[in-house]
Amino acid sequence: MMRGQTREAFFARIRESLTDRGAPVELPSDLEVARVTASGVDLVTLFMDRAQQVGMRPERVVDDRAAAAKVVEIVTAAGRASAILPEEDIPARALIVDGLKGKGVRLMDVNDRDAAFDADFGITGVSCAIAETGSLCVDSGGTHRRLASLAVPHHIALVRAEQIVPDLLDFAARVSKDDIPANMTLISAPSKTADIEMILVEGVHGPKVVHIIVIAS
Amino acid sequence: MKVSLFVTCLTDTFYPDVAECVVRILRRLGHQVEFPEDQTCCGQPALNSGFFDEARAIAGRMIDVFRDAEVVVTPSGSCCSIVREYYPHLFKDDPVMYPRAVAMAGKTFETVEFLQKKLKVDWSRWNLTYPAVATYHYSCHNRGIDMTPEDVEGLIRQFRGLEYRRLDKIDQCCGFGGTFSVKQSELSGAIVWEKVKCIKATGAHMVICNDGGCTMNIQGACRRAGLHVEFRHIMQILDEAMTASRPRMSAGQVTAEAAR
Amino acid sequence: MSGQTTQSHEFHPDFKKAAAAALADVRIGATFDRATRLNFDKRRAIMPELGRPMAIRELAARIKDHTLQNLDRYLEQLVENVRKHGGQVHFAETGQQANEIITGIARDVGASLIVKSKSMVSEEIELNQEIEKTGIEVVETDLGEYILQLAGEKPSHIVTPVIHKTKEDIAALFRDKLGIEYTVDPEALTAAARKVLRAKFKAADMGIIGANFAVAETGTICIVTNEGNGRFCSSRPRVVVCLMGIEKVVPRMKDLGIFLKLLGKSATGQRLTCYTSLITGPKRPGDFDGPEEFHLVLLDRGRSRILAGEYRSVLRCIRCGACLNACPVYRRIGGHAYESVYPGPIGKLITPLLASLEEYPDLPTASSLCGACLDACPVRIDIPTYLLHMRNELVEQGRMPWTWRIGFKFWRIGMSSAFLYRCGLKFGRMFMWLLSKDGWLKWLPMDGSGWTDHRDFPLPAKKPFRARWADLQKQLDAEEGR
Repeated sequence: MMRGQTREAFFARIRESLTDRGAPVELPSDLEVARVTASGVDLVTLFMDRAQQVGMRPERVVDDRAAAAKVVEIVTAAGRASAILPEEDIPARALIVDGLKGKGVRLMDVNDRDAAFDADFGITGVSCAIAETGSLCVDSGGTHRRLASLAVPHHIALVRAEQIVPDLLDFAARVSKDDIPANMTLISAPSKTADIEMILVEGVHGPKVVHIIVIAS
Repeated sequence: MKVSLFVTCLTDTFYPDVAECVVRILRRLGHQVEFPEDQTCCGQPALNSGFFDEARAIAGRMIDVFRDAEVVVTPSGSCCSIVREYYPHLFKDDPVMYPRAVAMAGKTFETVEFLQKKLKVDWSRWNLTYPAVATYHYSCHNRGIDMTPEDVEGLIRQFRGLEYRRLDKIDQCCGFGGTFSVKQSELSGAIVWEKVKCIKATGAHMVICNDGGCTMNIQGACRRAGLHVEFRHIMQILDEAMTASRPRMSAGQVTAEAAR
Repeated sequence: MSGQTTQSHEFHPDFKKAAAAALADVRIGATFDRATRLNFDKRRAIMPELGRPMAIRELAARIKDHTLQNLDRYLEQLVENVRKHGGQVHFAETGQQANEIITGIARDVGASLIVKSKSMVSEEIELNQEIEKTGIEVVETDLGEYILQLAGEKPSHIVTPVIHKTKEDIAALFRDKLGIEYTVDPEALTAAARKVLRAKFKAADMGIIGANFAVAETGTICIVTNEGNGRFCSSRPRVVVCLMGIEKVVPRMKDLGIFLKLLGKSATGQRLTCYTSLITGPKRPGDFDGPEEFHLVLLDRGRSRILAGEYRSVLRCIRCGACLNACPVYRRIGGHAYESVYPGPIGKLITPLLASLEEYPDLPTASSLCGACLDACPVRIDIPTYLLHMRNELVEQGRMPWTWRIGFKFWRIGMSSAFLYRCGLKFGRMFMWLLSKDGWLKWLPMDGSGWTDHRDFPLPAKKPFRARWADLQKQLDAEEGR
């Protein structure tokens, strides 16, 4: 059953509205005036500063071993916990799995679509990070699990220094037109709201706490 | 420089003293001042109310009156921004008047803007003293001529003895808006009341306000509220202070310097 | 202008009345003043971080104007790319068609529970009511919108929709509707909502989202949120529907970068909102999660009419709410007084443009033209000038009172001659002198009473400047020894 209009009718009306397009406005090709962060600055420090400013908890470690140890420390800090750890390319993944198992942390079944709702921690990698805004980018697809960085109260993200790009402009430039994931999400702060009398409350639907382990030798 | 004074109907009618001060100041700084007597109004009331044809007629007349002026100075920021922002806009479809409108827009300045940004007067050469406890209301149409509150405060701070207390919500509109004040009088009244409250909170006994419309509006509201504060255009303050001061050069030197 | 009304039921907006009610409520003024100034100050604090914010805003304006000028082309490109990635696209000229499409999809997939993230367009078309008529449950998941849904109210701000409610209001509401113990602790209230909505996310069959932007070159929808509900709505249910106004499209990913840099800062002083989701079609083969179906519903609803006219650039709007936060009128009366989905300065334009000036004749005059909105706007929409043009339309349509029309005819005659101007002034002053005391008037006749209801009016000076000029010159010449 045809609902709405046909594509032809819809576009015919829009084209008619644009009979007089007006004096041509060229699409600017150079957007560099909008660049806030240049390459060549200390991206790790800037990224961590920005992430800290918005309430995320960045920490710097020198290698994968230290990263795994840090993750285990965070997860076990409050006592017995559960974690969902997707099988994506997370730095030090094997070490983390071993470490967590060793401490009796329950690892959720990544093929259970409700698992993330019950996990205390979600541990993921990132596809990239942005220094300008202190943002993490998580992609969907394959071994990734969208809810591992969303439905959990604590999110731990592992970032390699090389994954940090300076500016949103750089992020945009590396998005592939053809091979784009179904979902890419920039995480730029812990979940929050100020809807009630402008009073800040953190941890609404997304994670209340976001730890970022930056591996930079 | 030969400066043509665009007095504005509000200043002419209600605050002629302000215009006198402007003349004295400019002459003191060594400039010639002329007053084209044929001038009436910039057209703002009609434009503001949507009567574009009427506005165009009066604006066109003003453009003619000031056609031969070298530079036009006005003590009202709102009238200045009408000339700068809307005169070209009003005549955009008129090939004859449009270039004339653009020309007028290019040579019209508000007084503070003129002194601070065009002439760039060095006030340190004058011994400017003006004892008062004053606050300042930033008139909205300064936005249209690229003057920030800080630009005007720069001049306010030149006066020794003037204790300046910054107004809370300094750049929030006073609610005049021309015909808005009568067409949506409830809203206008509520907004000016906010301004009165802020003025009262400063404890200042003087309000520096550089636009006739704003002054009419806020002063009228202060009176109605029983708040006793004086209103001054900065040109009045400047004139008084310059008259009283002994510049660090002789009058002849000042005139000669400024005329260069 | 003529067209559809914004409300489907019998509804006659009366701005003067609604504004008067808001003005009478002191609490409204205090609430909105505080809330708007918070984000107003935050925006002004962070914008300089952009280095050359004005240049970037002008760039953004040009990108939008170019896009609007070629909207057909970019929409076609968007449609192609959404389809290329497995999405379906539907076309709705009217709100009713959009409602039919969306309720149709819901019925087709057998949805019984829909979770929805914020969409102003869906308020325009009253989507929720239409869905509920079919017996399907639809739940707003943005905390503010959820509160409004429970209360049966409309938003009062584009970005912070429920600032008109106190925490006491919300505490009572949650006690009554959710059965929880009365508490004014925002953390506890949020936790209560979170619990309810979490269960909805888990169980929902369908998600409905809006779109902040749509990137033509990749077929990507971009939604920005702070809470995370948008992510759930677009990731968890097996069917996701995105409802979008046609003006939201931008050409390239890099253009999206510019708008993202401006949006968060302009709205709430954030570099970016907590979550920026880029959604391109349904799940890919082999993906574990993500929707099986992705539907994009493109809505016109009067936008192509705006495209055709002189107000085209109004469509640049990225719905940041910065103009609301800057506006002295909005700060005092809040959003409900505008009786429209879109309040504030931009609302004064969009509302009559999407509906008609006949229905909203008071909106164009409800502005002092202070320009704070243009000052705040990340895409430099010249709201004051557009309002003037609307006032001109009111004049041309003969909607001004005859007193004003005659008045300005006389004004024109008077101002056309310095002699008549001076005469008018003399007589005017004489008349006013009779009404004055100590140089002030407490009453003016006719429309002038609007002034004197709230403030005194000054008596003109005895001698206007032009009458003093000759003497002034003589005096100054004498002083200078000429």
